[in-house]
Order: sequence, then C-alpha cells, then structure tokens
Amino acid sequence: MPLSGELGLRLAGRTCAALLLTLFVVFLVAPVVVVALMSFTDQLYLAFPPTRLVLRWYYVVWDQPRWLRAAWNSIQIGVATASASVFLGTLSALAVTRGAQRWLVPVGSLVVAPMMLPHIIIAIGLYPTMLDLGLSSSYAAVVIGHTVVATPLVFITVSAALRGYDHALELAAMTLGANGWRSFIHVTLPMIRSGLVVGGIFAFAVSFDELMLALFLASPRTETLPRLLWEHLAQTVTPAIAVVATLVLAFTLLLLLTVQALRRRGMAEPAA
Amino acid sequence: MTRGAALEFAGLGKRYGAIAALLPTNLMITPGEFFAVLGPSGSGKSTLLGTVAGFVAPSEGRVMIDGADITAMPPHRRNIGMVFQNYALFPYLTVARNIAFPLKMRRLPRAEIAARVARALEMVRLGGFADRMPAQLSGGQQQRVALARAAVYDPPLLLMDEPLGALDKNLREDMQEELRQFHHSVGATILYVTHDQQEAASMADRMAIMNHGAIEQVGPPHELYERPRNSFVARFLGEANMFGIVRTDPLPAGRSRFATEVGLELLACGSPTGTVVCIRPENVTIAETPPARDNCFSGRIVDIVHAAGSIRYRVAIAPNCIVTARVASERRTTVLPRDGVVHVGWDAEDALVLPA
Repeated sequence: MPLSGELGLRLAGRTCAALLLTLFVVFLVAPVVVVALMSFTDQLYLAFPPTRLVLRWYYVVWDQPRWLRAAWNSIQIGVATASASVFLGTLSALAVTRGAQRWLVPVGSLVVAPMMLPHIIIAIGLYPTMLDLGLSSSYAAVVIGHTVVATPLVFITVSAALRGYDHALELAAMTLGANGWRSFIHVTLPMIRSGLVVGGIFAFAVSFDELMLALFLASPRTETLPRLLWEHLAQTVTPAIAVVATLVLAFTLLLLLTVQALRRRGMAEPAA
Repeated sequence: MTRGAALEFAGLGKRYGAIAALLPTNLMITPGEFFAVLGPSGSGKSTLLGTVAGFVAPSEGRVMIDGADITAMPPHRRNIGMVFQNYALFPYLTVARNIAFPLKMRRLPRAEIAARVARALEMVRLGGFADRMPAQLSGGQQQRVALARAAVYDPPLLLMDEPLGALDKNLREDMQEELRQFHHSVGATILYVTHDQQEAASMADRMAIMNHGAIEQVGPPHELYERPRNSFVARFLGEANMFGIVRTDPLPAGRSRFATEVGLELLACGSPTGTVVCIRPENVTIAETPPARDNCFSGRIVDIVHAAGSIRYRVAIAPNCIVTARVASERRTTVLPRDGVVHVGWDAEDALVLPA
C-alpha cells in the first residue's frame, strides 16, 4: 500500500520535526527568554520569574562608564577584525580557488584550521607571542587573535561565492581589454560581493561574542563586553549581567537577520 | 567594417608535463576568412584557441597576427574578440552595459560608447533589449549579446569557442545562418572551434580537422569531404562505409582489386598502398534488381531510418558486414521493405582508398 506507506512516512517526519522544534525551544530559546525577562527585574539579585517588568537595571548599566567603554571596545575590535578577516580571507580564497598551483589546496585546510581548534589552545599560543612582539594587552593583540578565528568564515563564504560562477567571466573580461586588476574590480568583486559581506558580518559576530581570546589578550583598558560579563559573573551577580547579555543577544540577532536578508537577496539576484 | 587580420601559427606546441596537448603546428589563416577547427574533445582544438586568446602559454613556437608576434602578449592587450560557449555575459550588468564593457575598458568618451552600443544592438536585432538583464533573455538572445559585445570594438580577429553548443538544434541552425551574415557584415577573421562537423561545414570557408593534438587535414569543407586524406577525416566528416584491406591486386587503368577483412573483393581506384576502402552512403545504389555497378552485392535490409529528405538503409551483405546506403526521399519514393532482399552497388570511382 504505497499511499498509506507515504502517509506513515509523512507522519513520522512530522513527529520528528515537532520533537526537534520542542528540543530547540527548550534548550536554545528558553534560556534566552529567561535571561531577557530577568533583565527587566526591579530586585537587587537575579530572580525568575520577575514580579514586575521595569527598566531599572538598564539605567544602572547605562550609568556605568565601564560597560559603555567595553561595548565601544567590542565594536572597534569587531570592525577591525572584520576588515582584516575580509582582506585575508578573500586573498586566501582567491589563491586557493583560482590559483593553478596544486600545493595551494592544503593551504586551504590550514586557513580553516583555527575554526576546529579550541580557542584556549590558540590563546595559549598567542599570549607569549604577543608578549615577545610587545603587543600584549593592546588592541592589536585582540584584533590579531580574533582575526585568526574569524578569517576561516570569510574564506569559506568567499570560496563558495568564487566556486558559484563560471571562471570564463574573468577570461571574457580579459579578452575585452581588462587587465588583471580591472577584471578583479569589475567582475570578481561584483560576483563575490554578497559572500564577502556575509563573511564580514560573521567575522564581526565571532569577535563580538568571543571570550577566551579576550581573556588572555585584552587588558582592563581593552576589555570587551564578553570579558567584562565574565568578570562580573565571577564577582557580583547582579541583574546588570542579564541586561548586558540581553543587549549582546539582541545585537547578534540583528546581525543574523541582516545576513538572512542578504542571502535572500543574493539568491534572488541571478533570477532578477 | 574592419579588415580581418591574418593569423599564423609557426611551430606552435603545448605540452603539460609528458602529455602533448598540441603537437608543433603550422597553420596560416588568411584575412577575413571564416576558419573552423573541428575535432573530438581532447584533440587540441581548445588549446589552439587558448594560445590565440592568451589563456594558454605555448611550450614552443609562435602565434602571429598580421605578422606581429603576440605569443607573450597578455590577453587584455591583444584586441581580439571572443565568444564563449556559455556566453560569459556579466549577470549583474544590463545588456547595454555588457556591450559597453570593452569600450569602457578602452576609456572611450561616453557619447561614443552610447552610439556604438546602440549600433551593435541594432546589428544583432536586439534594439529594444538594452536595459534587460542577461537572465531575462533566451539562450539565442544571450548569444547575440555576446556577439555584439565581442564585435563592438571592431577587433580584426574573432574567436568562437563552441558558441552554439548550449542551444537546441533548431535554434542552432538559425544561428548558423545568422553567424554567416554577421561574418559578412563585420569583415573580421573568425576562428571557430567546434566538435559539430555539420556546423563547421555549413559555415566555414576552410576548416582544419584535429585529432590527438595534431591537424590531420586543412581545406574547404567540400574538399575534405570528397578527398579526405585518411580514414579518420573520412569517418569524422559525414558517414562512411569502411572496409579494411588485407590484399591488393593492381589492375590496369589505375584500378585495383582489394580483398577485405570481411572476405569481400572490391574494385576501387586509388593508391594500392591504402589500408581502407571507404564509400559514402549517398554513393551506394540500392535496388531490387542488381544495378550496373563495378561492385555489386546482395543482402537483407536490417534497418531503415527516415530522416528529413533522405532514407538510410542498413543492408547486411556478408557476415559482420553492414553497408549503409542513403537515398534522397520524395513524397512518391517507394520505401523498400525491412528484411527484404535487395542489391547494393557502387562504382570503383566512388570508392576512396585511404591510409588508416
């Protein structure tokens, strides 16, 4: 009975989907909602469920220059990391996908390796290096650390973009009179633009949410939001932590939505 | 209208490690010629084209345009137009901006670019399509945009790499007509690479047949068809009945009697040193009574194929030997019955004796 078989299969599929959705809600969405709700408390400690929803602790965070400075640090480091990662990731993606040399293929795996490595290993390696270079506890140290772990994301999105179109486009540009540089500007860049922007946003988000490297490489002067959150958790647990966590979450969510919108546009482009 | 350029290959060869993609080749293409390079895939035709475009650096020899050596010149300075198999239109630019691209690269004044683009669009009959995106056009229209883009800067030489390969059959035949007219109106020399022999033969002034990295024969299509130099060329251009020769007995008047692998004795004119006797299907007469021909055999029709304007009969005349005969068909042509016993025959003069 093929019809009832198909029906059974569909039912099983639906059950699985419902189960997954439940797990997703319980383990991923629920904690976020709990943290967000706790940030609106009027108590002096973290309490759930909140008795009233007020903005008291948002004012407290806003009035503390240390939180603001950490936020500003995070944004600066994030932007610098994204820029450096886009530059390096694009160059390595071009070399690996367009370069004719066979020895470049393992280089590709090397570029993405930091994504697999635990951040603490990278941090332990980078810490003495930064000391030797006289860069310890500078902005550069954090940006370099974050660039190491963010570049793979740009490499992957840009490589995918490069593989997604016919290399003949660049050859055509050359026969039409464009030298290597102009064919890159007029052909390669427009073709990989959405992969480049998405990779850059990912790189920013990685830097913005990263804790381990910031613990090792930043100083109180260059501390980022996740690092300050960590310090507060270790000392005094106040609803201010929930406020900052909620704000970081909201910001990251905004970045993800931007990526989604860009992806949708990127997919619509060829049909347009 | 531009004057076409002369294109010359002097001892040009390309090897990748131990593999020779192109054996040292000499070839002269005259100004304004429509020259087709025909061969199976891997025969070296794309390598040959690549050296002219500048994508492939030859291992030896030179490429010359109008006598000037361009072997080491980077692609963007060669001033050659090229049409690619998948059109290679820039998907993010409108039709007009695609065609304007080479003019922009040459830093022409804006007004002149606009005028030239408009003229190019008229030439390929896409006047109303300037602001469309490539993806909004049909395959044939995209190919016409690619033609306009490759010709808008009046290059004296146009390269075409299987430009009709992605189109369906009817459109391909229309485009062949269009390409010939295009060639007449631009006057440029065209080097056209294809694996489709019908396409090459219907458009080219001359063509080269390539195999295993070497040119087998060069000449006008009809000449290659009627006087192939070897059995590869004969087989590659059109259909051919082939008989392997095992023994040759020379006869008077330039004729020989050839004993063949399948055990038949054939009369043919031509070199007694050949190894294959080749007869074109249209030279084989098929009838219910024995025809008055030098070679005559009886056999059974094993297959009948009706094509536009002709009928192909496959007749088994000996064990392991099937001869194909093609006859023009009209409305009143009587079709011989399948499995019917018939006679096939051909004259000694129609048989070609060729080296392998």
